[in-house]
Amino acid sequence: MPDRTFIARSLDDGREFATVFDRHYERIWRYLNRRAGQAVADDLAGETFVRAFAARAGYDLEQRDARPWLYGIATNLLRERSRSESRRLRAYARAAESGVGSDVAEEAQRRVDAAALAPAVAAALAELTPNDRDALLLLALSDLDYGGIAVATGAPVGTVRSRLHRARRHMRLGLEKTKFDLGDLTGERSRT
Amino acid sequence: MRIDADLDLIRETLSDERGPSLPAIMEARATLLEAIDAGAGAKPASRRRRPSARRVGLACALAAIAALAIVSRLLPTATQSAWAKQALRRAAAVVIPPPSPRTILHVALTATLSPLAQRASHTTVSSLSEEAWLQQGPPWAARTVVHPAGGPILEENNQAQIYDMTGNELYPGTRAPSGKPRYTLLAGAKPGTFRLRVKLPDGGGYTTSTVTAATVRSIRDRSDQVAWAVAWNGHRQRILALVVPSLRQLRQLSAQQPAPTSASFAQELRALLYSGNARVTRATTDAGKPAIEIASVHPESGPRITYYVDPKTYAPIELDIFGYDSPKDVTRVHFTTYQTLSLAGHQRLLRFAVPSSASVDHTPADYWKAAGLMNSPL
Repeated sequence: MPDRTFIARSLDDGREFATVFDRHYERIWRYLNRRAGQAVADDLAGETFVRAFAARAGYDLEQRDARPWLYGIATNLLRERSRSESRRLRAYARAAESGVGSDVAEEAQRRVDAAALAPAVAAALAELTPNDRDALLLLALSDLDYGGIAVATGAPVGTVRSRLHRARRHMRLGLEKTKFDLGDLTGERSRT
Repeated sequence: MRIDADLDLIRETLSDERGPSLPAIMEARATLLEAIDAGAGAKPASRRRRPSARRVGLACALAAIAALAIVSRLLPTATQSAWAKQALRRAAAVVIPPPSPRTILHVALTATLSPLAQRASHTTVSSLSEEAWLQQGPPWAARTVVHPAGGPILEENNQAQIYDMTGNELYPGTRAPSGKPRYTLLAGAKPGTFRLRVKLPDGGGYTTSTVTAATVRSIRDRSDQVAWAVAWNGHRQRILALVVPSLRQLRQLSAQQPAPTSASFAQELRALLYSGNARVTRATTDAGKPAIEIASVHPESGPRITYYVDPKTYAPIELDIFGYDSPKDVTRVHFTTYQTLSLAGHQRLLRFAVPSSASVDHTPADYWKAAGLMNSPL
């Protein structure tokens, strides 16, 4: 049964909403963990569902799948903590560059396969506007398409496209400034 | 530049294949259920208007589905065939001895885990065989032998010890402290919040967490309790105090999920049938043996399960546990043995006998690795 059935039922019997939690908690946790780390994911993944439950009356029952809605709530919660995400991205950049033997550095090293690129990517992400960063990270880290990102962010699809275009261009320029070529990672050469 | 190279790069930079820990899931679920219970009496403020005929039709269809579910719960046998009603009457006639500490439940099973179930339990084990001897009352002595496909044969007791029979190695795990945590509830920093201050065992100081007023209420009315747990985050093991459902709550949950590791399985399944949360769907055979198929209907918690049971005793023969995302995602548990033994004649079966030649490995990571291989779907 699609998510909307359980959300509709939960208007009369709140316990029906537990199914939405069981279906999606893990993917929302993973998304938050990749964006902001385990502590924030532990804190906000549960909060996402509490907020979703409180807001279920506003759910658009034309949407079969609750994922875009849940990613949107999780993203808004992250936005409320955006300082911690930006700080963390900058800490990655600094720690990976300096090789400091701190927990942050170890985590950064563990996370990064293309270790040399990590500081530049983290720094470029930290410099994006919140709207552009949300759109880009939803595209990269969630399983949503453009339409889903539009639902999640509450913006028209056209706006999502332009935010993504801007964010990706900014990322490329940021990486070029640091002399990295995205083609190096993929084994292909840049066209520029 | 390849078109998605930047996305790959972000994924690489922010790569982390970890999933949430079990305590985190439990805590988040408990918090949601608190919010649900707290809001049970209050209707959501407003429903979004759906002006189009299509939307009205959709709402009617959903209401009809909900109404059908309610009716089928009120009248569990109303929509079932005469044969199914007869099977239900037979279920009522099954004589089930009550569980007792003087009995041991002996089960042997093979299980094939679906990819979804493997992901949920963070294991790479896709199939396993298991044999267990479980005392059906205090002190709940238990011994389980698990053989994950391609892995070592592992034996576990309920003292958090795992013995690798293949490698002749014993992993003594850390047991959660006995007894209940001593805790104090203090006013929180924000209105409507409290601080749960728990004294850690062995002079380890105190740990404090913020809880909602609803949690405090459920602790006070004993629907939840504060309990010790040992957690492993992949790097470090620590003792936590968690707010978890009380035994009473767990019993209510088990009414939705009959446990084949309990001698009360037949009784619980019967209760599930009478509540309308399961229905007899057909008579069939399983590996040549007659069986009846019972399907759970809209379970309030946990996945949908189809039970194949012995028509005379209601002992489990097979359980098909369906994943949420796809009806093809099935974890299959097939029972080859399900019998009750007297404790008097079979006490030796509960004995966890480790040879003196076994080497003892106290490394927590090794214990948790072995524990990960013992992931039974039940």
